[in-house]
Amino acid sequence: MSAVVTLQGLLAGELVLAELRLQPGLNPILARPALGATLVALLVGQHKNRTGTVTVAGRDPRHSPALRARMPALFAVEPKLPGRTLRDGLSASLGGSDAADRALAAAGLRSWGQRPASRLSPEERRSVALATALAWKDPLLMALYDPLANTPGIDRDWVVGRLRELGEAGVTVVAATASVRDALALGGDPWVLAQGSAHRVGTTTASPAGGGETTLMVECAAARRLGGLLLGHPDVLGLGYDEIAAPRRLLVHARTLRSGSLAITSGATTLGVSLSALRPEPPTLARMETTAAAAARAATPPRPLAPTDPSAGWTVAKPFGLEPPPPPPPPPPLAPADPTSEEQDASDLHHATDDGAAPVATTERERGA
Amino acid sequence: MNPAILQGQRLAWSRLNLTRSPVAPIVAVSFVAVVAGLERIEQPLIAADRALTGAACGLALPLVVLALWQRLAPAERLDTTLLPLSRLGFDRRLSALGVFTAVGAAAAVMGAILAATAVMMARGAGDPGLSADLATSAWIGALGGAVYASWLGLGVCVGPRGGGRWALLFLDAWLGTSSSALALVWPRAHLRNLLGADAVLALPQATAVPWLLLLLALAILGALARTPR
Repeated sequence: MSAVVTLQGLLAGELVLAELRLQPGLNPILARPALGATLVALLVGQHKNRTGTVTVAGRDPRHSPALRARMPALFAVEPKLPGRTLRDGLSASLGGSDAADRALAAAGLRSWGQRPASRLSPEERRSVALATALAWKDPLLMALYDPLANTPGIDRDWVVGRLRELGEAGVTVVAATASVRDALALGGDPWVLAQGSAHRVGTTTASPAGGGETTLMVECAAARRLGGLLLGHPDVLGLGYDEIAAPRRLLVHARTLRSGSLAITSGATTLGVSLSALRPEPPTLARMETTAAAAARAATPPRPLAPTDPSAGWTVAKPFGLEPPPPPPPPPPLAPADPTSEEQDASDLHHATDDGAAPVATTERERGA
Repeated sequence: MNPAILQGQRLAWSRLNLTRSPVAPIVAVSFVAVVAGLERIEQPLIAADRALTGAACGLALPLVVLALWQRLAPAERLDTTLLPLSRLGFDRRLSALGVFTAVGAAAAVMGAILAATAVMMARGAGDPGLSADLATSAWIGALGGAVYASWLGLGVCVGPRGGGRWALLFLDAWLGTSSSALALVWPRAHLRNLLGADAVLALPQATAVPWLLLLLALAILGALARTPR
């Protein structure tokens, strides 16, 4: 059975969301940590203070225990497990000790079965919760927060494969993360939550300026020297280098992928060094949010500010039913001036003012002569 | 029994687990025993009354019940405590009812023990009225424990981290000692009436038990209303 998830008019903590509709399949969602954690809690009916609606298969999970029984989740902070041992705690969730053993074995956590449930670290509790969720019987919706991070003992590639399997089987899988790299690993174009909207953004085209700026990661033995050489290059917009943490790694922000790659390779050739690695870095979350916000604005049609008919011109409102005043008559055209005859000008001026009044002195000569 | 109620009780017992760390009950019983002994030395005729209304049911019992809730739901609201059950599809309200019954039972036992300790130390082994007073005080202590468990449990459902329990404890201590109308809704007032102290609005002692049961029921209903399904 498939479930369509709908969120509308949501306001819960820092999460503000106008509308989001998720179809069955794998749905990676890029969001800041607080927003992603709140979203996961909302989807499985564990967040109390909210306005707006959340429906899964037409029902609100907050008020439906039967629905919650088919919605396994992985929270940002997992509570302590009940039971004396881990195996005991999982038996209640998965319906028996055998199912618990199979779930732990599938996730590579077979040796954890007899560990005291109360002695697990917060990250280990997340690993157990993830193993439980991925082994859930007949799930409708699976809401996971950062399933590829902070889960020690579980193979990341196995999780990705399992999530894709579940998505293809018709389960609505929601994987919220703040890591663009993890979202890319899950595949497809992720949803990005930004400024109250959710928009699908292609990670290969995420460029707010539209100019194709990109960041390249270079690994070589002479990373520092290479960085110094690239600083003056016209296509290099910026550099990033940490001599303590990663002395062999250089981040180059370039105008385009091609120009950046050419600058790096030519610089390496000039220095006579070889490159261990050269690859584009995925865009940052901030850039993805900016792209999503721009896409949301572009999708909203602008409100017209002027009349659509250019011949209509401005219309004057009729106050109290009165007719608008007639437009003023155009002024009479001026007589063209003759620049060769100053006396003629003076005579003209005198004639123009000849109404019985004394002639007006208009030249300096007449005034002060 | 409904599986959600049963799971709520199991969750509560697993978290309370007094055998693992019985410090709070031992300290409370020791405190009551010492105070009751001192009261007997000071004023033997009214030592039992003073020990019951003061050290046992006035101070130790509410604090022990608070300690039980702190162990069950440390700095969190009740619906957060029920997360391990609600994510499996158990009804949160029924699970909360299971939690309340477990905590109420533990608090009732503690109340009976504290009251009995106060009476034994205040009267002494040779007192002819000891056995009758023991039985009476024990059931009053048990009832008081159950009522405080539900009252403070209502506070656990109030506030982002269940901090309402502290507010209710403080207001009960402050307003429950008077005999005016302000004291009507606080368990302390009716417990004092039942133990023979000043009555609220001069109500007869026979009204104390119905009032306490009413407060217990209202507190549980209020807590369940604040807990989503």
